Amino acid sequence: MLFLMFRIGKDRYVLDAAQIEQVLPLVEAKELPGAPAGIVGVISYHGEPVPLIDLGLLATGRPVAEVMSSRIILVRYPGAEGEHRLALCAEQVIETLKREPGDFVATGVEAGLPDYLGPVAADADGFIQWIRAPALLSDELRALLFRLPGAAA
Amino acid sequence: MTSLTIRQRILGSFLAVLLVLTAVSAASYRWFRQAEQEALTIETSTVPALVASLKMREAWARAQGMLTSFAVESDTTLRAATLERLKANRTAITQGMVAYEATLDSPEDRRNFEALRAAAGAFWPAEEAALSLPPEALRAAIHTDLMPRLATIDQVLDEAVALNQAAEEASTEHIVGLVRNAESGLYIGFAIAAALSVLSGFLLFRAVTVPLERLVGMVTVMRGGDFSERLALARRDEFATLADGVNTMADELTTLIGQVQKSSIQVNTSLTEIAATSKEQQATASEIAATTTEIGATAKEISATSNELVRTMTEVSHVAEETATLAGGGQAGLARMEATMRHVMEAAGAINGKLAVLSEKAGNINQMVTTITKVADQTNLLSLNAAIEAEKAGQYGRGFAVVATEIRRLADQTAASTYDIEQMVRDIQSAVAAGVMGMDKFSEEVRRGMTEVQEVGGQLSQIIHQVQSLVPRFEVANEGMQAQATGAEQISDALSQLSEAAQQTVESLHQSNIAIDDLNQVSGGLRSAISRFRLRA
Repeated sequence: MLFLMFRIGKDRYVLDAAQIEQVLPLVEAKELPGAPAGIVGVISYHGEPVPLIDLGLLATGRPVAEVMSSRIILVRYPGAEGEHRLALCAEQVIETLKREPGDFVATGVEAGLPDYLGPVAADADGFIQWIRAPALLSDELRALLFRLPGAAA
Repeated sequence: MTSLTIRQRILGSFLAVLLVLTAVSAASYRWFRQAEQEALTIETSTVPALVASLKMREAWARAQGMLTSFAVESDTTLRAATLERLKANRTAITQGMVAYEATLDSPEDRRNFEALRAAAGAFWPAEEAALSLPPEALRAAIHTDLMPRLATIDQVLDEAVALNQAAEEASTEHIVGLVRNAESGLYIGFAIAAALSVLSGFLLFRAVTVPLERLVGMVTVMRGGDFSERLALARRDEFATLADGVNTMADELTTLIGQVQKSSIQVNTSLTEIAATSKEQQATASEIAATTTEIGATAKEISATSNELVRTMTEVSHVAEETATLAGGGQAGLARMEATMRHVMEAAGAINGKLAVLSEKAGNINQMVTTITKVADQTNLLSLNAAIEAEKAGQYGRGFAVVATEIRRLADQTAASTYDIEQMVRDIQSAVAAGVMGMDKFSEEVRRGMTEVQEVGGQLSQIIHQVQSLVPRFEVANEGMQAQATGAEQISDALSQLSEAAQQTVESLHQSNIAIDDLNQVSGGLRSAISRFRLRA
């Protein structure tokens, strides 16, 4: 099973490659004034607006560095009316990782932590934590972000 | 009484006695004047009246006798003579009456005289008538008519005599009374005057002796040296003034003696201090003498040193001339150094230009490296997406995934290499920048060095100028040194004189010490003499 590896701060995290539509270079997002925490704006993907979440801002409160290795990960996001797209930006998005899901074990301190933090796997450099993309948005945030077509209709 | 002065008392006493005496004299004068008046009255009036009345009585008595003898006489001649005598007697009676009339002084007298004149006037015609009668008839007429008439006249005359006698007695008694009054007045006046004299004399005596005794007592006390007492007389006369004067004198003497006592103590203290000071001065003068001798020796040394200095100055003058020459050489060297430094500055400018070129080239390399890095990045991204797509393709994409991984490895190596190159270029660029900065600093320092060299050149020329100007000054200093040597010798001589003078000062101070001791004894004598005076506390 293939994972895309990236960093938030100095820790390493992975996303399931099956959920990823494409990796894009860091582009300037259109800002959304008054947007909820973590959402920095919208980017254009083939002319379609996609909301952009800064994982550094969401997890540690510090936005990701604007360097070449910082990239945007475009994920498919399952919703009530089919799939949506969600853009996540993170640092050091330069490697893939091949691991079996069984290598990941629960940390034991899930209670009280955000839902998107999954189990961890160990390698020579330390632990790698699995990020569950569908849990990144809270219900009301998801409703806020993805009711746009419905509300517009 | 206490407010009267002695002068007023004396004058008052004499005036009182004089007044009494004057009063007595006036009264006596008055009495004696009255007595004199009375005596004059007796002399001018009473006695002539008495005499006249007695003469008339005698004449009348003679007339009676003549009439009787006429009557008895028979001889005609004798009768005629008697008649003649009778008529003469009649004239005498008339004269006596006229004389008596002049002395009339009382109404009673006058009435009596009028009666007499009437009786006489009646008698003389009757007598004439009778005389012409024959003797017988005459005798009868005498006996019957004339004799009674004569008796009446005689009676009137007796009254007149009695009246005059009474007047004379009254006058005499009046005189005696006046004289007695004068006598008693004199006695009383004398007694009053004597009493007044005694009284005022006693008061005067008291007024003089009592304060005089107190004054004498005070003077006696003061003579004993005691000035603590003061006189207080309860009066306002010359003695009060005198007492005030004595009190003032005692006060002033007290002040004076007090001041003298204080002054004598101060004099004594000052004398002790002066004596101590004089001894110190003596010691100091001795030290001065010793010091002066030392200074004299020092002055001689200074003289010797000055002579040595003169020689040294000459040498220094030579050295200064050589220094001026050497400084001239140094100035030329500095000018060459300045030219060299200008060359160095130009070379530094050239190096800076080369370094700028180097920096530009490094910048170009950096751009290329950035391009390569971007390509590597794109390659990496492409390989990532390729790997994700291959994973999605599953079994069919496996080979493609291997290729994608290989591509990504190459891209990563490229990125690492470019990173190394980028690092090197950055190092070169910073080194070039540091070199440029260093060269700038170097140029700046060279410029500053040049300025300093120019300044040093200017200073050197000043030094040369000053050193050259030093030479004549050295000569002046040389002369000054010689003068100093001479002066030091003179100082030495003067100091030996000063030493002698100090020795003399020591001797005179010794003598003044002896004088101060004498003065101290005199001051002690003065103090003991003053101490016998007792002053008011």
